[in-house]
Amino acid sequence: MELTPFARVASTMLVVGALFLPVVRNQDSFPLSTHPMYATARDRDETLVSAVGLTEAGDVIRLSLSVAASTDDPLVAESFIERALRDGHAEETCRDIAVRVAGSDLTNVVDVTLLSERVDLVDFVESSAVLDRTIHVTCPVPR
Amino acid sequence: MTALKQSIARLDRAIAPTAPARRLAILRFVVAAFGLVYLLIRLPVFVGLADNRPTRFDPVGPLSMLSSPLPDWMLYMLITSAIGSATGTLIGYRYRIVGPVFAATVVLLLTYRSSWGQILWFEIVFALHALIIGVSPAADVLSLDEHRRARPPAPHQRYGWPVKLAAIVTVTTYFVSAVAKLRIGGVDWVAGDSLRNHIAFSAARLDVFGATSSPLADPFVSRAWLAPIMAGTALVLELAAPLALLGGRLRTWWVVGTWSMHLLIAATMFIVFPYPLFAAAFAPLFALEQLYKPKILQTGGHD
Repeated sequence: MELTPFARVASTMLVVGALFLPVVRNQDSFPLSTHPMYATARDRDETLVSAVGLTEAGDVIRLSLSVAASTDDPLVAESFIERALRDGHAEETCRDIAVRVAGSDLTNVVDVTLLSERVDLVDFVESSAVLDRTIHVTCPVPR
Repeated sequence: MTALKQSIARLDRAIAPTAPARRLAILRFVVAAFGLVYLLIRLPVFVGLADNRPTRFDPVGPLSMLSSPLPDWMLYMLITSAIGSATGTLIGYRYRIVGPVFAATVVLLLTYRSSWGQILWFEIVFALHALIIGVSPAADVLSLDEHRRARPPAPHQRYGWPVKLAAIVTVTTYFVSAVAKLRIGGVDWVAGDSLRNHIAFSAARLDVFGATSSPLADPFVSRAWLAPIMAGTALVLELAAPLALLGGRLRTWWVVGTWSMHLLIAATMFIVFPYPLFAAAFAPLFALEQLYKPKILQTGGHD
């Protein structure tokens, strides 16, 4: 079926309009998006969420992306923990992570903790300094 | 009325130039090859969606009407169909059926993946290109379907329009990104420390998940004066994206600049936008048939 010139022009304008629609409605989605990556004016003072493992001796082990959130994408992992804390699923998520720890080679980890760390981003990159640490939930690793 | 018709005809010539079938066919090859490799490499991630807790499901876009996650068998069928149709699209086999299946399954699968609380923006241009390629006559040449034709097709607008539309999609998404930066971050996004803090944040986020951050993050973060220069350059590139449609040197410089921006993002933040980084996003901006001329096709035929 051959399109007429009018149909091609109208279709093209519709596509361009659709690409701008999320901007007009200020609503991000997929595959029509506001493309907000890195668009925020980010401050130096920032809170990072993560999951850590605790050993019997009290040592803290940073859990990997795959163990913490079954992903290889840090954006997905961050969002996974953030949503769990925000939506009240912290304990359930902690238990899920603990099961993954039990199935990993982290045999010395006895507990999993979800935590937030307030940092000065520049200082953290240069010296790993943490300003403040909040523990949200701790759960045992099933062995 | 005549003036309107003339305007539409002029616009039509601009958005749908007469082009050889090879241009669209090579774009089909680029999009499908990227898609096939991407889907195979990311297979564990797509399969792993079946293990997610239903409470995490937050459907977006064409799947927003779903009230619960897909049953596992449906997800596996979607993944299999996407990979199978990407292969069929690559070789151009039964394209009238396979092409639309490729378009639909890629868009649905990637939408499904973005329906778990985090939209993955780097997959958007690929999804939109797959949609365009899948519903266009992209396998009339350089395909297994080719032998069904008595003779090679003549250059036609039907081959030029989908390529131009894909190019318009590429540049518009960059332009929309610039609009987002100006709307959300404002002038501070360029003049302030935002980009420096974004790079520091990416490195810190990798650190707290026990991963290795880029060795270039620290040198960049410790030189605060670099951030406004890089942010300004990125914003100018994104705002200038529509100029790439004019072609020529302007297009080439824009592509080189934007590709370099993605390279720098990958180098400093370890965040890879594979579709532009492998140049697939920029392919429709070029007369692809001039980059690839198989000898067998140079001896005769319209192409």
